[in-house]
Amino acid sequence: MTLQEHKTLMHSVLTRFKPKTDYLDIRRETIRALCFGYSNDRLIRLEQIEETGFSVRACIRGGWGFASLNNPARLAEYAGLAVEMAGSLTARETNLAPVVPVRDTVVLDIDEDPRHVTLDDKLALFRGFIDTGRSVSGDIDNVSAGYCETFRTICLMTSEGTDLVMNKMDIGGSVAVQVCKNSIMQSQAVPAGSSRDFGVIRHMADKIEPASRKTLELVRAKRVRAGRYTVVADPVLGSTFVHEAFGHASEADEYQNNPQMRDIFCLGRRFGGDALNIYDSGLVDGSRGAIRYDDEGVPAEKTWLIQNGILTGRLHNRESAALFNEPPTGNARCLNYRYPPICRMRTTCIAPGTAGFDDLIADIKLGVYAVDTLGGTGGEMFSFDAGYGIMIRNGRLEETVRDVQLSGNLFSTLKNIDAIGNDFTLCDDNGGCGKGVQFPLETSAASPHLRIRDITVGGS
Amino acid sequence: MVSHDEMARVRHRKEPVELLLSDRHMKEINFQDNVIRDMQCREISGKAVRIIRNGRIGTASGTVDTPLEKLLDTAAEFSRYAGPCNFSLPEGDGKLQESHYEDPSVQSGDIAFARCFVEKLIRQLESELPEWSLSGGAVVGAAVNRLVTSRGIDQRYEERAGCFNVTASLSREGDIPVIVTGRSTFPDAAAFESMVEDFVWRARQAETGAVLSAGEYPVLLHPETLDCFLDAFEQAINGRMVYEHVSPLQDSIGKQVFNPKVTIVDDPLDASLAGYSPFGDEGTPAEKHTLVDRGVFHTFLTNLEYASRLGQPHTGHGKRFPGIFDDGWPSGHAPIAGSSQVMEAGDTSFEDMMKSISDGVYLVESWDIWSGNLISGEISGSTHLAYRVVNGRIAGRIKDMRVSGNIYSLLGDRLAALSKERPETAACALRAPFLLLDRVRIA
Repeated sequence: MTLQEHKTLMHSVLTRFKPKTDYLDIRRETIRALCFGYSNDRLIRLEQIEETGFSVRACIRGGWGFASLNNPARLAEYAGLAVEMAGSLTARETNLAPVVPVRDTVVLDIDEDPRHVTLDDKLALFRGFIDTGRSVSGDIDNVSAGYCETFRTICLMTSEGTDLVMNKMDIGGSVAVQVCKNSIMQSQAVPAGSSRDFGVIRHMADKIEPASRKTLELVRAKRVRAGRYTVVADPVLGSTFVHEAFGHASEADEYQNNPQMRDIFCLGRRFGGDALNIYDSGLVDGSRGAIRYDDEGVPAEKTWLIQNGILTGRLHNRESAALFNEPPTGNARCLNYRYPPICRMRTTCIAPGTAGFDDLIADIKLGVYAVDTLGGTGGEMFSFDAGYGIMIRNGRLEETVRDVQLSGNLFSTLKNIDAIGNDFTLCDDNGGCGKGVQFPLETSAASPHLRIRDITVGGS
Repeated sequence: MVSHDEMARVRHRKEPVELLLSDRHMKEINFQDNVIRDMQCREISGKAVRIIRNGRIGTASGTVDTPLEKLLDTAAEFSRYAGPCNFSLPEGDGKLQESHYEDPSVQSGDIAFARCFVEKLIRQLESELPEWSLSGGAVVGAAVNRLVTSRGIDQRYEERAGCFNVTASLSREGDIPVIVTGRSTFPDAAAFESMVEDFVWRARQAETGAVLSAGEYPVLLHPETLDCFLDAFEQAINGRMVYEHVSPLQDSIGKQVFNPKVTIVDDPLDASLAGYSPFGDEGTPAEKHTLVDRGVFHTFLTNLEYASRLGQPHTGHGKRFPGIFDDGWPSGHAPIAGSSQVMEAGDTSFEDMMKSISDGVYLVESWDIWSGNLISGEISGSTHLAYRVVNGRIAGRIKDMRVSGNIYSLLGDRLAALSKERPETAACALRAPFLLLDRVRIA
C-alpha cells in the first residue's frame, strides 16, 4: 500500500475511535536501513532492513493506551485495543499542554546524499579506513568499522487535527583500532554522525592514523592512579557528561508526579556557578539531534535548562508540560513506531565560556586531562570512561595514562565546574541514547573544555 | 504468520537458503510514582533470509508483508560482497520439529493478570516503604519462531511468558538511593512474599549512610552483580574474540583459569531461566556445555562460522531470534551469544559468609561494571547499591565509591567461598550463589 492509501486508512480509524477518547494519534513509519561492519579485511555484516509499522496512542481521563503493529489490516483492531486499555485506567483527568495543530511536510535537506553513493563505493571507503588504521604498525591487532544509514518517513495524524509527514535521515560510522600487548588491551575509536551529510563519513579519514598511533601509545602507558583529582574534560567527554549526568535529569516525565523530586528540580534553584549555561536544542542543523517537530507534532526549539548556574527549564512532552504548567518544548521522541514518545534529549549543549585551554590547566598542581569517551551512564551518580588521560602537573601536560574512569554525583559535580573553555565543539558520533527500553535514539551533544574540581577517577 | 507458500518455496530451492519467521505479541502495564500510567500492546512480525550463493553468504530482513523474493534478491545481491563461506547449513529430514513452552505463572497471556500482579506489588511495597517512590512494569508475551531451510530443517518454537521489574527510589536532598529488582516469571505467593521481604530489607538498610575509606576489603557479592562481573568472561569465551586474538583465554582450554570452587555451565535447556532455547537458531541442536569445571576452562562458544574458522565443533550459539520481550526481528546473521549460565553452589551459608566479615562490603548492584581491558580481565564499576558490613552486620549504605579488580583473580585466588543458596534474582539468565571475595579494591 502507498503512503496515501495508508493515510486514508489511518484517517478512517482516527475518525472511528476519536469520539471515545480525549486524545488519539496514529503514526505510520517506514524505515529503510543499510548497515555493514568490517573486522580487519572481513565484511562481517551487510544487511538491509525495510519495515513499515503503525502505532496508535489513546488517552482517556489521563490513562494512556498504546498499540503498535506491522500488519495494516489489523490497524482498526489494535486501535480498539489501545482505546480499551486507556479506558480501563481511570487515573485522573487528561491534561495535555495545548498546541496549534500542524499540517506540514518536512522534506529532506541533504548536502551529500548517501543514496547517491553506491554500495561498492561505501564499502571501498571503509576498507580504505581499515587499511589506513592497520598501515601504521604491524602491532595493531584489529581495526573494525561499522556504518549504518537510516531513512524514515513518519506520518502522524492526531484527533486534534495535526497531519504531519516527516522525512528523516540519520547516518553514523565508526572505526575502532585495537592493540593487545603484554596482557594490556587498548582501543581508540573514530566516530561520526549526521542528519544531513555523508561528507562527515568521508572526513573520518584524517582521524584514523592519529587514533592508531594513540592506541599504540596507550598500551605502553601506565594506568592512571586512582584518587580524587581536578579534571579537565575535553569537549567529547564534556558532551558525554552533559548528556548523561544532566540531560537525563532534565527529562520532566521522570519526576512529573513525584513532589520530592519536583522540589529538588524546582526552577530558580542554583545548580552551578555563574559561568554554567546549558541548553537542549532541536535546531542544531545537521546534528543527529536535529528535528523540525517532535513525535507529538510540537515544533522543536532551543530550550534553556541552566542559565548563569540557575535551573531555568526542562525537557517536556505535552503531558509533562501541562503537569508542570510550563510550555511544551518539543522533546517528545520515540525510538520508532513500536514505542510511545517520551521526554528525550535532542542536541544538549554546555554553552561556551571564556577560558582558553592554557588558562584551564595553569593553576592545577596535580590533575588529569581526560580526553574522548568510551561511553558512560547517568543518574544521580554518573560514571564515564575516558578514551585516555594526560596527567597535569604544575600547570603542564605530562605523561599519557590509560583506563581513566570518572564517576561522581550530579549535584556536587555541576557545582564543581569552576571554569569553562571558549572552544565550543559539536560532538556527533554513531551511538545513541538509551532510556528504558528505547535504545538507541539519535541525539547529539556539544561542549567546550570544562574544569571540574574534586572528581573521583578510577584506575590502579 | 507468514504464508505456507513462502515456506514451501524455500524448502524446494536447490541452493542453500534459510527463512526465519518471528511473530510476537506483547502486552505490558507500566507504573510510575506508585500509579499505573499506561498499558501497551505490540505485534511484531518479521522475517529474515540467509542465502549461500556461489559460496558466499548474503542476508536480508523485512516485515511480514515484504515479499520473500525481494528479500532473496537483496540477500543474493549482498552475497557478492561477502568473503567465502566456510561452512554448510545443517541437514534435516524435512520433518517439522516443534517445541512449546508456557511459563506456568502466566495465565492465558492476559494483561488483566499482569495488572492484578502490579497492583498487588504496588500495594504491598507502598505499605512497607511509604517514603519511597515506585516505578516499573510487567509484561506478558507470546512468540512463535520458525526456521525453515532448503536443507530439510524445519523448527517451530512457541513460547508464552511473563516478566516484571520494579524500582524504588527515595528522593531526598543530595542522596537518592535506588533499589531495583525483577524476575523473568511471576512468582507464586511464597516467592512473592520472599521477594518483597528482600526488597524491603534492601531499601530499609539503604536509608542509613555509612562511610568507608578507600582500601581492600572482603566483599560479599550478590549474584545480580556477579552477572555484570561475568561480562568480561562472556566476551572472552566468544569464538569471534578468540578468532580475532583478543581473548585472554585463547590458549586456555584444559587449563585452570578460576578457583577450583568454580563450575559454570551454559544451559539453553533450563526452562526456568531467560536464556531457554530448545533449538539452536542456525538449525543446530541446543545442548548444555560445561564452560568451566572446577576452575578448568573447557570450551568457547561458537556459531557455525566461527566453529569452522577455529576448527572446533559448533556449540549452537549463533543467536538470530529476538527474545520474547525484545524489540526487533530475526536476523539472517547469527552473532555468537550465550544462553543461560548456571554456576554451581558452594557449601557455606549466606549467613555464615556475612558473619565472617569483620569490616567489608555487601555489594548488591554495580550495573555499570565495565571491562576496559578484556585481554587482562580488568573490571571496574560504581557501587550503586552496596552496604558496609561491620562485625557481620549491615552498618549502612555506602555511596560514591568504585569497585575494581581482575575477574580471573576475583574468581581465582581471591574467591573465599560460594554460598549454598542460589537466590532468584533479576539477572534472569544466570543462576548463581553469593560469592565471598577477599581483598577487593574499593575506592
